[in-house]
Amino acid sequence: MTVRDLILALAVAAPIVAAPSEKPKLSFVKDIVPIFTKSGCANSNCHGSIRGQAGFKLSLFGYEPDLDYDAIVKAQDGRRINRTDPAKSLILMKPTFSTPHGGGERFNVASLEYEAILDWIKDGATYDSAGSPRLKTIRVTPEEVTLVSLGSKQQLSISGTYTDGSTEDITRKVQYSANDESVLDVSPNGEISAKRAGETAIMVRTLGKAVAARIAVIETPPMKDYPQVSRNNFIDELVFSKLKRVNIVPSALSSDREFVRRIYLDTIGLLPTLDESARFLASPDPQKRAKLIDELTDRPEFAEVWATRFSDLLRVGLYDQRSKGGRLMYSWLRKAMLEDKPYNQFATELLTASGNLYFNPTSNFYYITEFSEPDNIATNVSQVFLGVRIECARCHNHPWEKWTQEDFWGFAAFFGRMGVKDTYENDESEITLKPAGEVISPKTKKRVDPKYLDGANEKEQLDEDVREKLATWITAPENPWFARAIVNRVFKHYMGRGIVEPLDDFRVTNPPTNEALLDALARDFVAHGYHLKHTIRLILNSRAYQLSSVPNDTNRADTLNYSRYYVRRLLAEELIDSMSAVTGVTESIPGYMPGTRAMTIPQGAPTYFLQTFGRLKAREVICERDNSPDVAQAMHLISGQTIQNQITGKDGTLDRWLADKSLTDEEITRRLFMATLVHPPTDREIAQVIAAVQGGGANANARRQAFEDVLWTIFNSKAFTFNH
Amino acid sequence: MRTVGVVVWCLFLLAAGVRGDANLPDLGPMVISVFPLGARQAETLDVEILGRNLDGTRDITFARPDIQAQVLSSSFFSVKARISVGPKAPVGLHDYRLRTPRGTHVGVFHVGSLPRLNEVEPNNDLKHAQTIVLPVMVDGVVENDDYDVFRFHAEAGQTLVFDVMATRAGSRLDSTIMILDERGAELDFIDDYYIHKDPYLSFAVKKTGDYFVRVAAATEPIATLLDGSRYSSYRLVAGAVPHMLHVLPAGARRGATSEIRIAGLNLQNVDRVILGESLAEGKVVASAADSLTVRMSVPATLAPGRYPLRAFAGSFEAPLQIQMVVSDLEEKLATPARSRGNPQSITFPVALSGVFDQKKARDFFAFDVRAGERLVFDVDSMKLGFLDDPLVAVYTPDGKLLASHDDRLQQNGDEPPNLDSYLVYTFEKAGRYIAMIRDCAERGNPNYVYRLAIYPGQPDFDLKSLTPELTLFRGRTVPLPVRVRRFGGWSTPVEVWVENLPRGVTSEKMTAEPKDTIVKDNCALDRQLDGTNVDLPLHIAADAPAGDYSIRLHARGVMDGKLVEHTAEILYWWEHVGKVTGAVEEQKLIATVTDLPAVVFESPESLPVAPGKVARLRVQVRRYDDGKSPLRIEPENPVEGVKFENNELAPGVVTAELKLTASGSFKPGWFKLRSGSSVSPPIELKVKTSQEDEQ
Repeated sequence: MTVRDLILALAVAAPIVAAPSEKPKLSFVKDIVPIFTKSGCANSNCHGSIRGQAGFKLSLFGYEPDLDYDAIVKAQDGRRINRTDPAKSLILMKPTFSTPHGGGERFNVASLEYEAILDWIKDGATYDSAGSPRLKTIRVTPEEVTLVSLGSKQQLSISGTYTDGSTEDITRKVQYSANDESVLDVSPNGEISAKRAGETAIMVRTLGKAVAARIAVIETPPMKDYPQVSRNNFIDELVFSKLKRVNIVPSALSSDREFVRRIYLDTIGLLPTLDESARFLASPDPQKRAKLIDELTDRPEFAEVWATRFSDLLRVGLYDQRSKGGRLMYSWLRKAMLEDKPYNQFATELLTASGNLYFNPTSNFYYITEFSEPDNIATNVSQVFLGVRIECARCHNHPWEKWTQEDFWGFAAFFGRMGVKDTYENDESEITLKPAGEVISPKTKKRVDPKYLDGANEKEQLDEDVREKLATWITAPENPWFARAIVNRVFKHYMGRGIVEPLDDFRVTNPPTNEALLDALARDFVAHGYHLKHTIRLILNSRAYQLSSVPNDTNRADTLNYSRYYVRRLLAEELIDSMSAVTGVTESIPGYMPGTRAMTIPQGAPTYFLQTFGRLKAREVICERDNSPDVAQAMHLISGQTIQNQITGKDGTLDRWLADKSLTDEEITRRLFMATLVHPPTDREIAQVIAAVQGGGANANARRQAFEDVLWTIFNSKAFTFNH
Repeated sequence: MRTVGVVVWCLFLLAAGVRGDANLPDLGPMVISVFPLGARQAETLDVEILGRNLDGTRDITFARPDIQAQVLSSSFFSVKARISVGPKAPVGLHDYRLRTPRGTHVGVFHVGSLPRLNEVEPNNDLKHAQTIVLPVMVDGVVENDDYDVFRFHAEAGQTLVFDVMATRAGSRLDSTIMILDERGAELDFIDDYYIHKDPYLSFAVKKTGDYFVRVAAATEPIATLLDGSRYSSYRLVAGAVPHMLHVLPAGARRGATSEIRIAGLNLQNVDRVILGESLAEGKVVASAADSLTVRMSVPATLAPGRYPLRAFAGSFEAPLQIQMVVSDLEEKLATPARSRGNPQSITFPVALSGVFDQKKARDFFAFDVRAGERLVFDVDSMKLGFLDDPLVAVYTPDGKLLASHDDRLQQNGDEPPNLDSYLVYTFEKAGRYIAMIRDCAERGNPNYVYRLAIYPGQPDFDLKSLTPELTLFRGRTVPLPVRVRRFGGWSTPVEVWVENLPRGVTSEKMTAEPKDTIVKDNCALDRQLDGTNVDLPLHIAADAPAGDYSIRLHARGVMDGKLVEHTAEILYWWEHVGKVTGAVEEQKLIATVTDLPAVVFESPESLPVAPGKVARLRVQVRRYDDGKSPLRIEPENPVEGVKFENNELAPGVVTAELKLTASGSFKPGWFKLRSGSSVSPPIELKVKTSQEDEQ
């Protein structure tokens, strides 16, 4: 089969192309450019990089065929094309490795790709005529499929729709890649084969368009006797129905002890006190979990946890010298959470903020760069509020999404009038709105009008702050990203994984693991007035959240579908605040009043402990905390000064208990276990503690030391350092 | 503390350099802090004044006779004084002048109306909070890493006012206020409220009980001194006291009776409002907790300017004041007219008061002008103590921008800025035009008050002495910094000169060209001042008699054939009084004639020394002799157990690094260095701690 035959064959399959009697002329845009995309030549690590490679630059993934044409045919005096002897063209000799090529062989001389390019050169190496159709959309079929059993296969089919309305099967012209290659393989022609149980997406792209197919792999056919699982709300409906589809049985409901420890840490960043856990455990009220959720989410500490979360996201205190502004912004965030300020209002206030950094808390939102450049702001706003990364499109069209440079700079133009003015003191700045301002596209060198992402252009009118229109568009119920992005963040906070991961990378090629759930959460959030507390309570009341963290045989490997509570290491603030609350030993954080809880520190990581456990000194980029355990953390828990101070500090809870003659050693042991792990010690544990305590004889110091050892052991246990 | 010392020296050296002649030292007294920052009416108390060059303080005199001070003792670093405040001394800041043989210093001292107490350490956390009973004034010092925590009782329904006076009274402290509940949970927090970083908040008590108020420094790493030090004094005013937030209109016409409306808190019992010290009496015609309506007649003889508005409930005076303008203009309220299409019609001259009460608030005014008419659009807002940053613009009715103005004096890394707008515009064509005023950053707040005066521009200028104090060294020429500011389109040079000079001191006239001075800010960017700076040279003869002399400044210019002459207004020397700005209470510029020492030392305040080890003492030396011979530096008196070496300085060398070796028997204490008849500031010899060893 020749290339022309192949094209003819495909043309027959597609109803609206030229009649077979006419020998179709190869199109540079439709037929040649995709070869470079599919062969990887136009990738970002090759000639598609911003500076090209070895003097040859292609547009990234064939986004800009006109530029590619110039690069291939015209650049360097046209030396890449040999019209006299087309087979000697560099554009063929390099990828076939007939001449030295840093990228090695991309296709061979017997390949259809080779033949296509050769024929195109022989035909005159022309560009498509003006007005010739361009690829508009691509579609993958099936979009979602479950493969049963390892080794099973599925052919994907890709169709392209052109600007003239015609469609074409382009299955063999596109590039495929699996987001998780351990789950399945995908061939260059779009055939997938299952490797292990799990889920992933196959990304399909060509000519600047990209789509994804969601693929699940299960090892055995669906269970016939899948157990009935009770459901508390629609979250359970959607989580459990997905679990059933992928053959996973959820873990059992968590015990009251598990639940009370977990819910305190997740909502207020602290362990329950002995009184609090005792009251909850003793209550026979069937509604006690729901009531506790309401109570905790009304506490100021709940607002502080979220103020810290948002401080991470909004990069509060990015600049040390702006720490006053950071403190103000933290206070504003805390207050917003206390008031349960509707999130659309919250976002609007930030998006339309201005004023002195030290007097107007929200203006600090814009102080992520020293001069508040529109392009930096655009990147930040899209990532924070839409969960969309458009930054790639600052320099080139986005490789895995539809965003073009025009989209990026149009979005940036919403912030064209923003400026920074020094005001009252040397170190004070004010975010202002200049009387006039504009954004110039680096590509066209022309003024850019504001343009909504995936939307229309906007014009700024006299006496208008166009950011208000942007805020209206962003927070509108119909905005495809706004509500979904925030419910996804909230969901991850409590469930351990976002429905879309990473949280700020919503794109067609990174589909949600449970789209119905994400949509339902977003719809519900909007319907309930954008109140975060409503969504948080909904999640916490779901059975899915309240599942045990103990896996069963079916869900041990599951990390996507919320079939159990995913254990997580406590945040730095949760760890130290919980330790201090248990021991009653005041923790001193430099620069803060003695006794200040770490969760209420607006910015920075003023102690080694906080740094070691992942709190950022400067929130330089939007990213999530690195919450993975490491050796430094282990060493610090074993022998660090912080834990020593906490254990040996005087006038704390331990001293009080030891001085209380009515408390036996056994009772003190019970209290220590309950205060830290919320479960009583086993008889064996009690016996071991008593033996250690009594080993010191009547010596009070030895008794104290023995209990210090108990505390040390608990603080070093996973049962303490993890939420489960 | 070491860092704080360095910063203090930086301030000191900066002050010395800014005077114009960097070669001359500033040996005049410099006050860095006063503790307590003030007194209560009818109170006598002892205060400690900290600073530099305070030794030999002769007296401290207040601008008002009912505040008296007696110097108890003085040293290079401090003065102890007893201050007696008369029962009728008005609440507010009052000027004092501290006099030494080498110069004078004008500073401020606060007088309050509430019971007063000093903070008592330790009160660093909730467990050790100091109990106070409201209402109260608490005077304290926020040391480095210090938190002053006070426990108080409050009743449900009360509205409590918390106000920390620090920078407004010359303190360097950048303070914050936090309110906490009994469990220690934060209920409210404020950092900067007033323009120069002082905080204020009101707290509506929902539940009867005990609460905490915490005063602390703001965490601001680049401004170490502001982060708390022994110089960081403050005054906390706390209680359910009457408190005025703003007045509308923000001005009153002299020779007329006008009705003004005051917004505030706890105003229900206020029965009397007066302007300044009984300059105008206001009759309360209606009162509520959050507002007062007052009818006030302003005498025609009262000079135009800004005056404090004072409120009384019986004999009790509200502890804080607001400012009000007196002028000859008709005072009106902005309607408000928020739309360009529906502006408020006005005729000028007029002063319009309004509030940017919500985000994006902007007021539009329509007026008619004749061809060639020049109008001034003069805004008061920051000058009245409000935090908005006004921007004024003039448009044609169809929206074409003709002119706009933002700040009269942007921050330049030097003196405090003035963000109020001042626009002069000459209309080419007769017709109707639109003026618009808004906050530069389009912010809104119920207390973002502005007063926009619109009047025909009469060319004029003013003259300001940038300092009320000056040290004149015999045999030298000392510059006197003044500024000429032009108004209403004044565009010709202005001649400036000094009068009433003492015997042996001469000067010459200088000319201020009609061009604003450009200075470089901290980032080396050009910043335009709101006028022309001129250094008037004062030549002091070697035999000029020593002493203090009051001298006067004048300026004269001619424009459009009209001769205009003014005397100078004397301003605080802001480097010496922190963020206290404006005119000094007693309009006197005192020049002190004295001798310049042959050698001036700049030495550290202390030196840690370890017994048996060598310590190095680095001293900067400025020589005012011929500088040709080597300089020998020795302790003024022998220091027991300490050997001084490497103490001879070659000609031209400006840094001495003395080698000190302390024996095991050396005694910590103070000493001075001497070279000839010149002596250094005192230096404290301390035993080095192990912590300092590590550093």
